[in-house]
Amino acid sequence: MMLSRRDFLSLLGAGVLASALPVRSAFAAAQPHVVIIGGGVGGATTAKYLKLFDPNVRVTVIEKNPIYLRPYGSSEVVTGHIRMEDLHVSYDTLKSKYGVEFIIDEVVGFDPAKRTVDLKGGRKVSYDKLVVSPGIELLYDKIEGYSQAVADSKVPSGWIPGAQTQLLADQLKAMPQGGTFLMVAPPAPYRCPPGPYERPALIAEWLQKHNPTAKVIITDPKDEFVTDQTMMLGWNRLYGFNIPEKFRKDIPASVEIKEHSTQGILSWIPKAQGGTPLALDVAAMTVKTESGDIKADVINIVPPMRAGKIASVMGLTDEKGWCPNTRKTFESTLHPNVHVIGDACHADVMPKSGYSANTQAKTLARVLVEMLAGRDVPTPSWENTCYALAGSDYGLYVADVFELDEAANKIKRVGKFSRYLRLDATPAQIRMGAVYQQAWLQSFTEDCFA
Amino acid sequence: MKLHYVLVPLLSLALLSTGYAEEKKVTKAHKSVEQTEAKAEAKPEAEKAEKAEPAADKAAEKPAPEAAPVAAAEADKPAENASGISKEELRALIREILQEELATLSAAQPARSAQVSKPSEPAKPGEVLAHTCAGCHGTNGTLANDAFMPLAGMPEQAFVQTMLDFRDGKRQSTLMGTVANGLTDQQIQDMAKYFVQVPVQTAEVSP
Repeated sequence: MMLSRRDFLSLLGAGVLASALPVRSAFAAAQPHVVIIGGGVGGATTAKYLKLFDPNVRVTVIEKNPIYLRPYGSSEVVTGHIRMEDLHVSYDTLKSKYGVEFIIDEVVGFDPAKRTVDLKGGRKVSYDKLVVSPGIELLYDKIEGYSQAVADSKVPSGWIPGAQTQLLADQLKAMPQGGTFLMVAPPAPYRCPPGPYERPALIAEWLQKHNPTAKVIITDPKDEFVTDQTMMLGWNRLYGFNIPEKFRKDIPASVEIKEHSTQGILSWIPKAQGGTPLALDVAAMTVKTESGDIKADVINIVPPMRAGKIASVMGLTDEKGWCPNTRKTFESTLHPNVHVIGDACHADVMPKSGYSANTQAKTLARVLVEMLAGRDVPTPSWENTCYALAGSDYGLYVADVFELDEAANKIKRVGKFSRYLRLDATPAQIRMGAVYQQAWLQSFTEDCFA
Repeated sequence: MKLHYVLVPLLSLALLSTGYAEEKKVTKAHKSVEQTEAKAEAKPEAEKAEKAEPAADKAAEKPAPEAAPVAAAEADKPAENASGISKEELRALIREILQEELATLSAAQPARSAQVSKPSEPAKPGEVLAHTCAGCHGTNGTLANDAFMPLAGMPEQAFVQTMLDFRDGKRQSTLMGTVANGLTDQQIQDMAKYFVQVPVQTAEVSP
């Protein structure tokens, strides 16, 4: 027998319908309960906007950490531009201002038929609608010789911020003069598309000041990356990087490209040149790639990834490791009444970015409020904005507007403009990109968490 | 909110009575085979209904007259039970609801009372799109930093013209050109209509 909390309450109410109508209406008004697993950008934004759209909906977030560490902008910790504490985001405002309830615990079980989740602490929580926004799981073991233990102690990833981020910052500071920093970039799809290129850029900038004879190498299992041309123009102007011929083709003649006679501080080895990483030898601090061994003093690996672990535990992932869904509602195609958003879900051309998760969360909050009210779901709209830095004063971006192709169950990009900073962007536009990047960190955090 | 005051004592008693029934069953189970357990279940449910009655009276002293009819509903339950809800399920459910009601009473009370409780309204035209701007321009366009333009309360025509200029490349920008270029005239007008009606005085500006 399947019996949900709401069924039970209405069952209580049903017996008295004839004699006492007020009771019936009291039970009929029982608050629908939306439970959200994960208090990151997707989960927090869903919670806040649910409460904005309908304060009568009861919203509970289940999250294992009492304080959120924001991943966006966390590379600035590595270069000491900000401290670890600056990544901390409190849940207090969501609780006090919006009445969102938080349970600091971990989900260990799930009964889709009864609509309950089991928590590590022993509680069982029932829901009318479940939102899962679990972020990513890093698959350290996909690179031979790499593991979480190695990442925690010697070769950090820091792609989910935490102790590894601080470890990487400490290692960078302790790097010997003239040493080598190696970034191992991930295969697609992955969280934060410009990130594995922004971080080495910021490190190159830091090294120019503190360790000018050092080198930064990016080894990559891909032949192109999001923002590649605009990022490379920044590298060219700032770090003595010579732009490969392939990426010069459509750069207007008016745009000055520097020709550096010697190799600069930063270099990039794409797949075609054997950049694909094969194995890590921790003892020798060497990464074996298709083109040979790269020895480094500090190694930062962004391993392959998939949907956050709880998504696999709950049976919400497909063979690719991400969560299939109906795009209009982000409802899982594997379990009804469960909606998966953010990095963990399939969203076609939408990148795995915080901004994507944020706009997915808002359309989902609207979907849930309308579903619970028994009304039609309006046409969703999504956007993405990723600001990235090639240097502290050198901003670039990815921007997208998306629409739903309902028949194809696909999300499409709309608009004719480039997604990226113009290749002939003026110095003012480039500078403003950096100003906006910093401002965005604040406004975005507020929109999600406050 | 009144509902919680009625539900909590009621459910507590209901839970206690199923617990009592549980104990009785355990001693029985020593003697009888497991299959006979099903028979034992109807009885405790009847006991529970009896016990729930005085609880309802107590609860009724507090805010609501609803309590007594609730007990009547409890009395209906053995019949429902015969249709297949196991006692374990019922207990788990009661405990769960009780936990949740208690949590609601304690934790979220101040926030709830501070909020105006009204039925949800469907999205206004332009609203779904307008929320995609909030990551930079603040929730509902009410911005708390000085780098981006606040959109709340912006005169409709100013919003439309600015967006069209971005869209057609007449106005220099970083990414606003790209964003505006993905929008239709109608969408831009709808967004303008949405933002102009957002009250500026209630803008959520942090100190």
